[in-house]
Amino acid sequence: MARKIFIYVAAVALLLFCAGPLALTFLGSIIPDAALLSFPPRWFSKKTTLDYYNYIFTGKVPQAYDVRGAERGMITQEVRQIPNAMKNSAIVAVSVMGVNIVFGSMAAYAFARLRFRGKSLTFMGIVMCRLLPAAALIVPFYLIVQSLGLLDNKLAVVLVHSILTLPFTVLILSVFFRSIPVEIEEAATIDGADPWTTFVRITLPLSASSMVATGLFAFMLSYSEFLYALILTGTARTRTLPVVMGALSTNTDVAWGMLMGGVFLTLLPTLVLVIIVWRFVVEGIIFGGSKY
Amino acid sequence: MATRETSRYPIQWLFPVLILVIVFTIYPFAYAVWNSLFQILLVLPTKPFVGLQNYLDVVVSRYFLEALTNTLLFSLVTAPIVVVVALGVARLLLTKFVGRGVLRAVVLLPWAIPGAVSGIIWMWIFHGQFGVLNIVLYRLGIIHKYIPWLTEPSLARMAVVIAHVWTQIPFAAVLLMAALTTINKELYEAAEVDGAGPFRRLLSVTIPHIKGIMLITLIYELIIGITTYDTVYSMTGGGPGGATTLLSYYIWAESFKMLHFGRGAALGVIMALLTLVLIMTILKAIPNEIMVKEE
Amino acid sequence: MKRTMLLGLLVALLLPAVVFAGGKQEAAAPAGGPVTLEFVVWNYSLETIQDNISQFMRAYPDIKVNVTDYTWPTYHDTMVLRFKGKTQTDVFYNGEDWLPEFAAAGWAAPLEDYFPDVKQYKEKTAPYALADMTYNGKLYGLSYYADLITFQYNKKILGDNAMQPPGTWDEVLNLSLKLKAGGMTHPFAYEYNATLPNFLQAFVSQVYGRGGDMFDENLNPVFNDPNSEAFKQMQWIQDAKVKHDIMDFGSTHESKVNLAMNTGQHAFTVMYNYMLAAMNAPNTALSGQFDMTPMPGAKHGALGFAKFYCMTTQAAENPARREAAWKFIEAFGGGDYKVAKRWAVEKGLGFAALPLFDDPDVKAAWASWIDMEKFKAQAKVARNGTQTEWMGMWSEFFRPLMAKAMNGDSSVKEVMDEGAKKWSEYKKLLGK
Repeated sequence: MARKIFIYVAAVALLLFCAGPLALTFLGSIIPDAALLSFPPRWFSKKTTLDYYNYIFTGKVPQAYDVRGAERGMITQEVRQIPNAMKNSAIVAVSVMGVNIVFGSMAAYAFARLRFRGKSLTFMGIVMCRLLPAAALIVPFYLIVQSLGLLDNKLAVVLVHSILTLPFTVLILSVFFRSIPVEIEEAATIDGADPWTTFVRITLPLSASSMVATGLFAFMLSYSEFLYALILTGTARTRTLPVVMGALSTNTDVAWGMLMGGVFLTLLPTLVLVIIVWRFVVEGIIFGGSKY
Repeated sequence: MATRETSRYPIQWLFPVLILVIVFTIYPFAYAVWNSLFQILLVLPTKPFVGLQNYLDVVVSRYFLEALTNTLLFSLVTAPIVVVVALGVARLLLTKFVGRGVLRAVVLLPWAIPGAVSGIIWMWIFHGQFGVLNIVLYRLGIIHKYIPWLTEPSLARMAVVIAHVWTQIPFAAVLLMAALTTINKELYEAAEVDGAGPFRRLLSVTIPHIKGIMLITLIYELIIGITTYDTVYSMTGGGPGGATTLLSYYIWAESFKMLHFGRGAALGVIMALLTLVLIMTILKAIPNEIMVKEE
Repeated sequence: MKRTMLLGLLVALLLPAVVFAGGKQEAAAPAGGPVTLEFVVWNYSLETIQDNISQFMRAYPDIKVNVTDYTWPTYHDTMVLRFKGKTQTDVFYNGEDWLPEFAAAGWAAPLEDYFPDVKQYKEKTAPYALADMTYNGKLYGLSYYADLITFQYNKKILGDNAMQPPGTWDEVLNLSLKLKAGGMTHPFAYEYNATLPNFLQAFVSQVYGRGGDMFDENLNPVFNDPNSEAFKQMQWIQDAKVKHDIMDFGSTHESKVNLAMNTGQHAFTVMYNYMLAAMNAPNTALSGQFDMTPMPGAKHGALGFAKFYCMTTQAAENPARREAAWKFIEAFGGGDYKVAKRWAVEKGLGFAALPLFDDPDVKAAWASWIDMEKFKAQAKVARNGTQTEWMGMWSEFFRPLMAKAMNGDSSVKEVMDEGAKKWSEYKKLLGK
């Protein structure tokens, strides 16, 4: 019984820690500034409002701004870029996830199972390219992308995000692939299968949960990446969510509640993705893990 | 026999990754290292070769020592915390209990938030005048005066560590969950039969089996700790004083604000070497199979 | 098997190129046809900018304007990258502290040299703004926004405590101590962030209030002299924080100072003047309670600065772009000042155009958050900051030191001496 209590206490603590700040953003987006900033603090002294979300999606100016006509300009339309930025971020992140799952796993398999000259060197090379801090590579990355004619194009962001995620994907997956008992694959070899078939028919299904994990990792890193997305996109058309959120967080015309509303919206696509994907991972864990 | 006999370079497996690496790594690395050897001040027309002078300038500069200390401390403190907490979280999420599905989804959410925005949220939590933590503690009667979380150096450092750990838990937990599922359940049962309690099982069954992944996670978190700055800077701006300044910020500052691209590049190289040394030390100190040389 | 695999790889690699095609920007327009101007801004109220541009394009159908925007905190750095990479840029937002370095680096072009007509605007421009847009004696731009850094306070709090707005820094301290005794833990909310350029500017504004300066007419530092007003002001701030504990350094950006002031836990601050409009905006918690007063100090001076439209040397080299750029800059920064007036009326942004100080529409719009006469009076004695090619770089170096002095982590003397030393180094390296 003590174990059960311990588990539930831990679960609640975890819920508070992880979700607490995010629940706060939701609260912050529906409680008016006047209540949020009151001292002594009385958060629930005023009525909550969905005006900020309304503004983001429809452009209807919140009631609080209508008090004195002359000030109606103190609200910015920049926050209405959020829906489009969400779309851009999602497209880029899904592409990066795809690149990682497909090409990353292939490279990882080569390192896990094949022998060839220059293996250590190549492996080191791929993994080491994450050593140099991002800020030091800004100028050369910018110049390369510009010479490819890809400035202000989502493809550039996908490429750069891929280079940021692939080394880790390759590293992790090669370790996971190697943890699959060799005998299973050798059984296939004896039956005459070449590396590619072994890879597709045996390795991939067995590593489903780790593939999903690394795919998720790639998605999340891309979805939340700020620095390169900032440098490589210049118009609202291609701008990603982190760049918009970064701009909003220091924009004086964005009320705190508006900013929090934007942050909360950021979570929704991720929530959807996670709900879809986790089910698959869970099944992979239940059925895949117990195979050996 | 663990591997095949092929000796031909498996170009078809590696091609896409290699192309990206070559284009986006070799040239930029070379560019950075090359630039670090010149005095490149944007407002001056000439770029004289200065050898290692930039490196020297960086190391004796006013910000270096404090930022270096802060960065190392930050990294060495957050990385183990993340790994340990994430291991607990992973273990918890694999246990059966009501609401587990919801918790699994919720734990992942901090991952989707850009670092700078996480910094804003946690700044709101820790702020001295309108911060949530102060408000909650005040309403519960635990404090009668707001605590200056972000303007007291030691408290500020603690606050940024907490915020950073929050951003890293989802990723580490996912990795460790995947790693934990590779452990055969029967090994646990065997240990239990032998009379091993939960802690003993952790040490003798769990950790040995996922050591590789744990190590990789630790190293990855160290790298992140050394190279990150957006969460911290959006919380504190590097303050108070210089208590939360981080080295990575200065690469950006040297190049784009002080317009000294040579020094910015030099700092980048210094940090890369620092990271390399750190990683090598850890890999040598803890026995593992990551760097196994093929025979 | 291998061939299929290779084929599959090839397709997978080419697919993105197909999917993402069509996302590229249009290259420069051919000569003779309509000109496309590349206009780069920081994204303050982008929709207003875009509306202004639409109106411009309607008036000049043969000029198309493409806007690229970056966020304010990253603007300078992204522009440096843009210029370094020679990305096509024609007209851009420029700031007073960046003009010397951008001009020296060969990126900004002197308008005066190409369009002597611009000189007619000089006498209609506030002196501090004009000085900020001039480099090497030549005018480089026309302003859309010019403002002051002013001393702002909560007039309700002072009224409730039967206090008059302070006229000297001693009075600021006295009032703060009284408020502190009455329960306000930190009456002064300081925008404390060494990574922001205005961290230095706010300090300079305070020094001007005292009637002092950072440098003498030969550009030599005077702030390291313990008898200088600058030294005394830094000492004042340090004492306020360490000795008297009336300072709060927790707000790292003006938007956070806005929130903090609106909790009613602070009485004083020093910020960009338009923040008064933001603090008094109808949706804030304590809307209407804030006011400005002349900068405390013997002379009540303040810092004025200008942001303006600049033309690049890249555009200047192409006759068609040059002409279009001038039409654009004059329409936006000159003419009857309708763009600046719009900013003033709708957003409370200050302006450089002298005629607007007496404009009835502006006065009426501003009445709800500031007394125009007060603003005018402060603008009359305002001065611009010292601008040199190395000011930006030196500012980057000096600001963290300032932060330490203010916080009590270093002595004021130590910080001022180091700042002076670095300034002299830069002056020797880059000065004429």
